[in-house]
Amino acid sequence: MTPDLHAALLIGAQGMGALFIVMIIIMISVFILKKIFDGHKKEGA
Amino acid sequence: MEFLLEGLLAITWKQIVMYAVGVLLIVLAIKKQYEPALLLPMGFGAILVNLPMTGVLNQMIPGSGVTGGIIEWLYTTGLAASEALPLLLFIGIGAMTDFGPLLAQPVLFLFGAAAQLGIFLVIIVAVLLGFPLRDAASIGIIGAADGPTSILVSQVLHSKYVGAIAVAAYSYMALVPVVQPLAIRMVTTKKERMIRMEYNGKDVSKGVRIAFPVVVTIITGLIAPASVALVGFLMFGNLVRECGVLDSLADTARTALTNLITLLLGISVSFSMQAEQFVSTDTLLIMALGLAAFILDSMGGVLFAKFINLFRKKKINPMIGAAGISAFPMSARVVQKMALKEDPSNIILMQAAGANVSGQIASVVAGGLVINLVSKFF
Repeated sequence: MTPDLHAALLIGAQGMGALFIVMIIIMISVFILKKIFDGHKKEGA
Repeated sequence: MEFLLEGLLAITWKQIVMYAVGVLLIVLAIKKQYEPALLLPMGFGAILVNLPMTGVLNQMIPGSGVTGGIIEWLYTTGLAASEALPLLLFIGIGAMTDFGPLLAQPVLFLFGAAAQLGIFLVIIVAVLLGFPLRDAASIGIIGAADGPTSILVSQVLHSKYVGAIAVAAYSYMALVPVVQPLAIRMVTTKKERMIRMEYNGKDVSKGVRIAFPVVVTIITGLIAPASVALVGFLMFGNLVRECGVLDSLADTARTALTNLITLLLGISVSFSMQAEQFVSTDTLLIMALGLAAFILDSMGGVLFAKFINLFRKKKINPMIGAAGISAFPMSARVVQKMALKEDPSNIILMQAAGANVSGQIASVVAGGLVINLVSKFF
Protein backbone atom coordinates (compact mmCIF):
# COMPACT_ATOMS: atom_id res chain seq x y z
CA MET A 1 0.00 0.00 0.00
CA THR A 2 1.44 3.37 -1.05
CA PRO A 3 1.55 6.28 1.43
CA ASP A 4 -0.97 8.20 -0.72
CA LEU A 5 -3.41 5.27 -0.72
CA HIS A 6 -3.02 4.89 3.03
CA ALA A 7 -3.71 8.62 3.43
CA ALA A 8 -6.72 8.48 1.07
CA LEU A 9 -8.26 5.59 3.01
CA LEU A 10 -7.78 7.49 6.26
CA ILE A 11 -9.23 10.68 4.76
CA GLY A 12 -12.22 8.69 3.46
CA ALA A 13 -13.00 7.08 6.79
CA GLN A 14 -12.22 10.08 9.02
CA GLY A 15 -13.79 12.61 6.64
CA MET A 16 -17.10 10.79 6.37
CA GLY A 17 -17.17 10.12 10.11
CA ALA A 18 -16.32 13.71 11.00
CA LEU A 19 -18.92 15.02 8.56
CA PHE A 20 -21.65 12.95 10.23
CA ILE A 21 -20.50 14.12 13.67
CA VAL A 22 -20.60 17.80 12.63
CA MET A 23 -24.05 17.44 11.03
CA ILE A 24 -25.42 15.54 14.05
CA ILE A 25 -24.15 18.26 16.40
CA ILE A 26 -25.75 20.94 14.21
CA MET A 27 -29.00 18.92 14.19
CA ILE A 28 -29.01 18.65 17.99
CA SER A 29 -28.28 22.36 18.33
CA VAL A 30 -31.27 23.14 16.08
CA PHE A 31 -33.49 20.99 18.33
CA ILE A 32 -32.18 22.98 21.31
CA LEU A 33 -32.72 26.32 19.53
CA LYS A 34 -36.29 25.31 18.71
CA LYS A 35 -36.84 24.37 22.34
CA ILE A 36 -35.47 27.73 23.49
CA PHE A 37 -37.29 29.93 20.97
CA ASP A 38 -40.45 27.95 20.25
CA GLY A 39 -40.88 25.78 23.34
CA HIS A 40 -42.69 28.37 25.46
CA LYS A 41 -45.04 29.20 22.58
CA LYS A 42 -46.40 25.66 22.58
CA GLU A 43 -46.97 25.79 26.33
CA GLY A 44 -48.83 29.09 25.98
CA ALA A 45 -50.91 27.93 23.03
CA MET B 1 4.52 42.78 -42.50
CA GLU B 2 5.56 39.35 -41.24
CA PHE B 3 4.44 40.26 -37.72
CA LEU B 4 0.80 39.93 -38.90
CA LEU B 5 1.36 36.21 -39.28
CA GLU B 6 3.26 35.69 -36.01
CA GLY B 7 0.17 34.75 -34.03
CA LEU B 8 -1.20 32.43 -36.69
CA LEU B 9 2.10 30.61 -37.09
CA ALA B 10 2.50 30.18 -33.33
CA ILE B 11 -0.79 28.30 -32.81
CA THR B 12 -0.37 24.74 -31.51
CA TRP B 13 -2.81 21.86 -32.03
CA LYS B 14 -3.55 21.87 -28.31
CA GLN B 15 -4.64 25.49 -28.52
CA ILE B 16 -6.97 24.62 -31.42
CA VAL B 17 -8.49 21.90 -29.20
CA MET B 18 -9.04 24.55 -26.52
CA TYR B 19 -10.83 26.85 -29.00
CA ALA B 20 -13.16 23.92 -29.69
CA VAL B 21 -13.63 23.36 -25.94
CA GLY B 22 -14.35 27.07 -25.49
CA VAL B 23 -16.92 27.08 -28.30
CA LEU B 24 -18.51 23.89 -26.91
CA LEU B 25 -18.90 25.50 -23.46
CA ILE B 26 -20.43 28.63 -25.03
CA VAL B 27 -22.84 26.50 -27.09
CA LEU B 28 -23.83 24.43 -24.03
CA ALA B 29 -24.38 27.64 -22.07
CA ILE B 30 -26.53 29.31 -24.72
CA LYS B 31 -28.32 26.43 -26.47
CA LYS B 32 -28.77 24.04 -23.53
CA GLN B 33 -28.62 26.69 -20.79
CA TYR B 34 -26.21 24.50 -18.77
CA GLU B 35 -25.07 26.85 -15.95
CA PRO B 36 -24.68 29.69 -18.51
CA ALA B 37 -23.48 32.22 -15.93
CA LEU B 38 -20.31 30.18 -15.40
CA LEU B 39 -19.84 28.09 -18.51
CA LEU B 40 -20.10 31.03 -20.90
CA PRO B 41 -17.36 33.13 -19.22
CA MET B 42 -15.22 30.00 -18.87
CA GLY B 43 -15.72 29.12 -22.53
CA PHE B 44 -14.83 32.60 -23.71
CA GLY B 45 -11.92 32.74 -21.27
CA ALA B 46 -10.63 29.41 -22.63
CA ILE B 47 -10.33 31.03 -26.05
CA LEU B 48 -8.77 34.22 -24.64
CA VAL B 49 -6.00 32.52 -22.66
CA ASN B 50 -5.08 30.20 -25.54
CA LEU B 51 -4.45 32.82 -28.19
CA PRO B 52 -0.72 32.84 -28.95
CA MET B 53 1.13 35.62 -27.11
CA THR B 54 -2.18 36.61 -25.54
CA GLY B 55 -2.26 39.91 -23.70
CA VAL B 56 -4.59 38.57 -20.99
CA LEU B 57 -1.64 36.66 -19.46
CA ASN B 58 1.63 38.10 -18.21
CA GLN B 59 4.21 38.14 -21.00
CA MET B 60 7.70 39.31 -21.74
CA ILE B 61 7.82 41.96 -24.42
CA PRO B 62 11.34 42.57 -25.75
CA GLY B 63 12.40 46.08 -24.81
CA SER B 64 9.48 46.62 -22.40
CA GLY B 65 9.95 43.78 -19.93
CA VAL B 66 7.09 41.88 -18.29
CA THR B 67 3.61 43.27 -18.89
CA GLY B 68 0.68 42.21 -16.70
CA GLY B 69 -2.28 40.32 -18.12
CA ILE B 70 -5.76 40.93 -16.72
CA ILE B 71 -6.88 37.28 -16.46
CA GLU B 72 -3.62 36.25 -14.79
CA TRP B 73 -4.04 39.17 -12.35
CA LEU B 74 -7.67 38.23 -11.61
CA TYR B 75 -6.66 34.61 -11.02
CA THR B 76 -3.65 35.47 -8.87
CA THR B 77 -5.46 38.08 -6.80
CA GLY B 78 -8.97 36.68 -6.61
CA LEU B 79 -8.19 32.96 -6.41
CA ALA B 80 -4.57 32.05 -5.77
CA ALA B 81 -3.80 34.73 -3.17
CA SER B 82 -6.98 34.75 -1.12
CA GLU B 83 -9.72 32.54 -2.64
CA ALA B 84 -11.75 35.76 -2.37
CA LEU B 85 -13.99 35.18 -5.39
CA PRO B 86 -15.53 31.81 -4.39
CA LEU B 87 -15.77 32.93 -0.76
CA LEU B 88 -17.57 36.16 -1.62
CA LEU B 89 -19.95 34.15 -3.79
CA PHE B 90 -20.97 32.23 -0.67
CA ILE B 91 -22.32 35.45 0.88
CA GLY B 92 -24.72 35.68 -2.05
CA ILE B 93 -25.62 31.98 -1.83
CA GLY B 94 -26.32 32.37 1.90
CA ALA B 95 -28.53 35.39 1.20
CA MET B 96 -30.47 33.35 -1.35
CA THR B 97 -30.97 30.24 0.77
CA ASP B 98 -34.07 29.64 2.87
CA PHE B 99 -33.13 27.08 5.51
CA GLY B 100 -36.77 26.96 6.69
CA PRO B 101 -37.66 23.49 5.33
CA LEU B 102 -34.52 22.08 6.97
CA LEU B 103 -35.05 23.83 10.30
CA ALA B 104 -38.62 22.53 10.32
CA GLN B 105 -37.32 18.92 10.02
CA PRO B 106 -33.81 18.84 11.54
CA VAL B 107 -33.46 15.08 10.93
CA LEU B 108 -32.82 15.98 7.28
CA PHE B 109 -29.34 17.21 8.30
CA LEU B 110 -28.26 13.56 8.19
CA PHE B 111 -29.08 13.26 4.49
CA GLY B 112 -26.76 16.14 3.66
CA ALA B 113 -23.92 14.19 5.26
CA ALA B 114 -24.81 10.86 3.63
CA ALA B 115 -24.95 12.37 0.15
CA GLN B 116 -21.27 13.37 0.32
CA LEU B 117 -20.16 9.71 0.23
CA GLY B 118 -19.01 9.99 -3.39
CA ILE B 119 -16.43 12.65 -2.48
CA PHE B 120 -14.53 10.33 -0.16
CA LEU B 121 -14.88 7.20 -2.31
CA VAL B 122 -13.60 9.01 -5.40
CA ILE B 123 -10.58 10.39 -3.52
CA ILE B 124 -9.57 6.76 -2.92
CA VAL B 125 -10.27 5.73 -6.53
CA ALA B 126 -8.33 8.73 -7.89
CA VAL B 127 -5.29 7.78 -5.80
CA LEU B 128 -5.57 4.20 -7.08
CA LEU B 129 -5.53 5.61 -10.63
CA GLY B 130 -2.23 7.36 -9.88
CA PHE B 131 -3.26 10.93 -9.03
CA PRO B 132 -1.20 12.55 -6.25
CA LEU B 133 -3.16 12.96 -3.00
CA ARG B 134 -3.78 16.73 -3.31
CA ASP B 135 -5.12 16.31 -6.86
CA ALA B 136 -7.19 13.25 -5.90
CA ALA B 137 -8.78 15.18 -3.03
CA SER B 138 -9.58 18.07 -5.34
CA ILE B 139 -11.15 15.70 -7.89
CA GLY B 140 -13.27 14.05 -5.19
CA ILE B 141 -14.75 17.43 -4.24
CA ILE B 142 -16.45 17.61 -7.66
CA GLY B 143 -18.94 15.28 -5.98
CA ALA B 144 -19.92 18.12 -3.64
CA ALA B 145 -22.00 19.37 -6.59
CA ASP B 146 -20.90 22.81 -5.52
CA GLY B 147 -18.82 24.79 -8.02
CA PRO B 148 -17.35 27.43 -5.68
CA THR B 149 -16.35 24.76 -3.12
CA SER B 150 -14.67 22.69 -5.85
CA ILE B 151 -12.70 25.71 -7.08
CA LEU B 152 -11.73 26.77 -3.57
CA VAL B 153 -10.58 23.32 -2.39
CA SER B 154 -8.55 22.65 -5.54
CA GLN B 155 -7.02 26.11 -5.23
CA VAL B 156 -6.13 25.76 -1.54
CA LEU B 157 -4.60 22.33 -2.18
CA HIS B 158 -2.60 23.75 -5.12
CA SER B 159 -4.00 21.22 -7.55
CA LYS B 160 -2.81 21.67 -11.12
CA TYR B 161 -6.26 20.68 -12.40
CA VAL B 162 -8.34 23.67 -11.19
CA GLY B 163 -9.66 24.36 -14.70
CA ALA B 164 -10.72 20.78 -15.45
CA ILE B 165 -12.27 20.44 -11.97
CA ALA B 166 -14.28 23.65 -12.39
CA VAL B 167 -15.54 22.60 -15.82
CA ALA B 168 -16.52 19.15 -14.48
CA ALA B 169 -18.21 20.57 -11.36
CA TYR B 170 -20.34 23.08 -13.23
CA SER B 171 -21.14 20.70 -16.09
CA TYR B 172 -22.45 18.01 -13.75
CA MET B 173 -24.37 20.57 -11.68
CA ALA B 174 -26.14 21.47 -14.90
CA LEU B 175 -26.71 17.79 -15.68
CA VAL B 176 -28.46 16.98 -12.38
CA PRO B 177 -31.80 16.38 -14.17
CA VAL B 178 -30.11 13.77 -16.39
CA VAL B 179 -27.66 12.11 -13.97
CA GLN B 180 -29.71 11.87 -10.78
CA PRO B 181 -32.77 10.00 -12.11
CA LEU B 182 -30.44 7.31 -13.51
CA ALA B 183 -28.56 7.00 -10.21
CA ILE B 184 -31.77 6.92 -8.15
CA ARG B 185 -33.41 4.27 -10.34
CA MET B 186 -30.36 2.03 -10.00
CA VAL B 187 -30.87 1.70 -6.23
CA THR B 188 -34.64 2.04 -5.72
CA THR B 189 -37.74 0.07 -6.62
CA LYS B 190 -40.94 1.60 -7.99
CA LYS B 191 -42.64 0.79 -4.67
CA GLU B 192 -39.98 2.72 -2.76
CA ARG B 193 -40.27 5.70 -5.09
CA MET B 194 -44.02 5.78 -4.40
CA ILE B 195 -43.66 6.11 -0.61
CA ARG B 196 -45.68 9.05 0.67
CA MET B 197 -44.44 11.29 3.44
CA GLU B 198 -46.36 13.60 5.71
CA TYR B 199 -45.01 17.11 5.95
CA ASN B 200 -45.44 18.33 9.49
CA GLY B 201 -43.06 21.26 9.26
CA LYS B 202 -44.38 24.06 11.38
CA ASP B 203 -43.40 27.65 10.83
CA VAL B 204 -39.89 28.26 12.11
CA SER B 205 -39.65 31.26 14.43
CA LYS B 206 -37.56 34.30 13.64
CA GLY B 207 -35.35 33.63 16.67
CA VAL B 208 -34.35 30.18 15.38
CA ARG B 209 -33.69 31.53 11.89
CA ILE B 210 -31.41 34.28 13.27
CA ALA B 211 -29.59 32.08 15.81
CA PHE B 212 -29.03 29.24 13.33
CA PRO B 213 -26.28 30.85 11.18
CA VAL B 214 -24.41 32.04 14.28
CA VAL B 215 -24.57 28.64 15.98
CA VAL B 216 -23.56 26.72 12.84
CA THR B 217 -20.57 29.01 12.32
CA ILE B 218 -19.39 28.52 15.90
CA ILE B 219 -19.86 24.72 15.79
CA THR B 220 -18.07 24.22 12.49
CA GLY B 221 -15.40 26.73 13.47
CA LEU B 222 -14.62 24.78 16.61
CA ILE B 223 -14.81 21.28 15.11
CA ALA B 224 -13.56 21.84 11.56
CA PRO B 225 -11.66 25.16 11.55
CA ALA B 226 -10.57 24.77 7.92
CA SER B 227 -14.20 24.96 6.83
CA VAL B 228 -14.99 28.14 8.74
CA ALA B 229 -14.25 30.50 5.86
CA LEU B 230 -16.66 28.59 3.62
CA VAL B 231 -19.36 28.01 6.21
CA GLY B 232 -18.84 31.42 7.82
CA PHE B 233 -19.41 33.35 4.60
CA LEU B 234 -22.42 31.17 3.70
CA MET B 235 -23.91 31.77 7.14
CA PHE B 236 -23.02 35.47 7.12
CA GLY B 237 -25.06 35.87 3.95
CA ASN B 238 -27.91 33.94 5.57
CA LEU B 239 -27.79 36.08 8.71
CA VAL B 240 -28.02 39.23 6.58
CA ARG B 241 -31.09 37.67 4.92
CA GLU B 242 -32.82 36.57 8.12
CA CYS B 243 -32.04 39.46 10.49
CA GLY B 244 -34.84 41.56 9.04
CA VAL B 245 -33.04 44.90 9.28
CA LEU B 246 -30.71 44.58 6.28
CA ASP B 247 -33.12 43.88 3.45
CA SER B 248 -31.29 46.18 1.09
CA LEU B 249 -27.92 44.49 1.77
CA ALA B 250 -29.49 41.04 1.48
CA ASP B 251 -30.97 42.04 -1.85
CA THR B 252 -27.59 43.36 -3.05
CA ALA B 253 -25.84 40.15 -1.90
CA ARG B 254 -28.22 37.83 -3.78
CA THR B 255 -28.33 39.94 -6.96
CA ALA B 256 -25.57 42.47 -7.66
CA LEU B 257 -22.78 40.82 -5.62
CA THR B 258 -23.58 37.32 -6.88
CA ASN B 259 -23.79 38.47 -10.49
CA LEU B 260 -20.56 40.44 -10.31
CA ILE B 261 -18.58 37.65 -8.66
CA THR B 262 -20.02 35.01 -10.99
CA LEU B 263 -19.03 37.11 -13.98
CA LEU B 264 -15.43 37.42 -12.75
CA LEU B 265 -15.11 33.90 -11.33
CA GLY B 266 -15.73 32.13 -14.63
CA ILE B 267 -13.27 34.19 -16.59
CA SER B 268 -10.68 34.04 -13.78
CA VAL B 269 -10.84 30.24 -13.65
CA SER B 270 -10.16 30.14 -17.38
CA PHE B 271 -6.54 31.02 -16.51
CA SER B 272 -6.13 27.37 -15.55
CA MET B 273 -7.50 26.25 -18.92
CA GLN B 274 -4.29 26.88 -20.82
CA ALA B 275 -3.78 24.23 -23.48
CA GLU B 276 -0.53 22.79 -22.13
CA GLN B 277 -2.19 21.90 -18.81
CA PHE B 278 -5.73 21.21 -19.95
CA VAL B 279 -5.36 19.06 -23.07
CA SER B 280 -4.38 15.72 -21.57
CA THR B 281 -5.86 12.33 -20.81
CA ASP B 282 -5.94 13.42 -17.15
CA THR B 283 -8.71 15.90 -18.01
CA LEU B 284 -10.86 13.09 -19.44
CA LEU B 285 -10.15 10.98 -16.36
CA ILE B 286 -11.14 13.90 -14.12
CA MET B 287 -14.43 14.30 -16.01
CA ALA B 288 -15.13 10.55 -15.56
CA LEU B 289 -14.19 10.58 -11.88
CA GLY B 290 -16.32 13.67 -11.29
CA LEU B 291 -19.31 11.91 -12.83
CA ALA B 292 -18.63 8.87 -10.64
CA ALA B 293 -18.50 11.09 -7.53
CA PHE B 294 -21.81 12.65 -8.49
CA ILE B 295 -23.52 9.29 -9.02
CA LEU B 296 -22.06 7.80 -5.83
CA ASP B 297 -23.23 10.84 -3.85
CA SER B 298 -26.79 10.35 -5.06
CA MET B 299 -26.65 6.62 -4.37
CA GLY B 300 -25.10 7.22 -0.93
CA GLY B 301 -28.01 9.45 0.05
CA VAL B 302 -30.61 6.98 -1.20
CA LEU B 303 -28.97 3.98 0.47
CA PHE B 304 -28.72 5.89 3.76
CA ALA B 305 -32.46 6.64 3.61
CA LYS B 306 -33.12 2.94 2.97
CA PHE B 307 -30.94 2.08 5.97
CA ILE B 308 -32.89 4.52 8.17
CA ASN B 309 -36.13 2.91 6.95
CA LEU B 310 -35.05 -0.39 8.51
CA PHE B 311 -35.68 1.20 11.92
CA ARG B 312 -38.73 3.34 11.20
CA LYS B 313 -42.44 2.57 11.14
CA LYS B 314 -43.22 5.60 8.99
CA LYS B 315 -41.01 5.03 5.97
CA ILE B 316 -39.04 7.77 4.26
CA ASN B 317 -39.15 8.02 0.49
CA PRO B 318 -35.49 7.09 -0.20
CA MET B 319 -35.30 9.52 -3.10
CA ILE B 320 -35.11 12.26 -0.45
CA GLY B 321 -31.59 11.01 0.26
CA ALA B 322 -30.43 11.84 -3.25
CA ALA B 323 -31.55 15.45 -2.73
CA GLY B 324 -28.85 15.71 -0.07
CA ILE B 325 -26.37 16.94 -2.66
CA SER B 326 -25.66 20.66 -2.87
CA ALA B 327 -27.19 21.44 -6.27
CA PHE B 328 -30.08 23.58 -5.04
CA PRO B 329 -32.93 23.70 -5.97
CA MET B 330 -32.43 21.44 -8.99
CA SER B 331 -31.99 18.24 -7.03
CA ALA B 332 -35.14 18.77 -4.95
CA ARG B 333 -37.10 19.46 -8.13
CA VAL B 334 -35.76 16.33 -9.81
CA VAL B 335 -36.81 14.19 -6.83
CA GLN B 336 -40.28 15.75 -6.75
CA LYS B 337 -40.66 15.21 -10.49
CA MET B 338 -39.70 11.54 -10.12
CA ALA B 339 -42.19 11.13 -7.26
CA LEU B 340 -44.97 12.66 -9.38
CA LYS B 341 -44.08 10.38 -12.26
CA GLU B 342 -44.68 7.31 -10.08
CA ASP B 343 -47.72 8.77 -8.30
CA PRO B 344 -49.24 12.02 -9.63
CA SER B 345 -50.48 13.05 -6.17
CA ASN B 346 -47.32 12.38 -4.15
CA ILE B 347 -45.85 15.67 -2.88
CA ILE B 348 -42.42 15.38 -1.21
CA LEU B 349 -40.99 18.71 -2.31
CA MET B 350 -40.58 20.24 1.15
CA GLN B 351 -38.69 17.20 2.48
CA ALA B 352 -36.51 17.17 -0.64
CA ALA B 353 -35.85 20.91 -0.32
CA GLY B 354 -34.85 20.41 3.34
CA ALA B 355 -32.39 17.67 2.40
CA ASN B 356 -31.12 19.82 -0.45
CA VAL B 357 -30.23 22.84 1.73
CA SER B 358 -28.70 20.42 4.22
CA GLY B 359 -26.47 19.34 1.32
CA GLN B 360 -25.35 22.93 0.89
CA ILE B 361 -24.07 23.02 4.46
CA ALA B 362 -22.63 19.49 4.30
CA SER B 363 -20.75 20.14 1.06
CA VAL B 364 -18.91 23.17 2.45
CA VAL B 365 -18.16 21.34 5.70
CA ALA B 366 -16.87 18.38 3.64
CA GLY B 367 -14.68 20.79 1.66
CA GLY B 368 -13.19 22.15 4.86
CA LEU B 369 -12.65 18.67 6.26
CA VAL B 370 -10.87 17.53 3.11
CA ILE B 371 -8.53 20.57 3.26
CA ASN B 372 -7.93 19.89 6.94
CA LEU B 373 -7.27 16.16 6.54
CA VAL B 374 -5.13 16.40 3.39
CA SER B 375 -2.92 19.09 4.95
CA LYS B 376 -2.08 16.67 7.76
CA PHE B 377 -0.26 14.44 5.28
CA PHE B 378 2.18 17.09 4.04
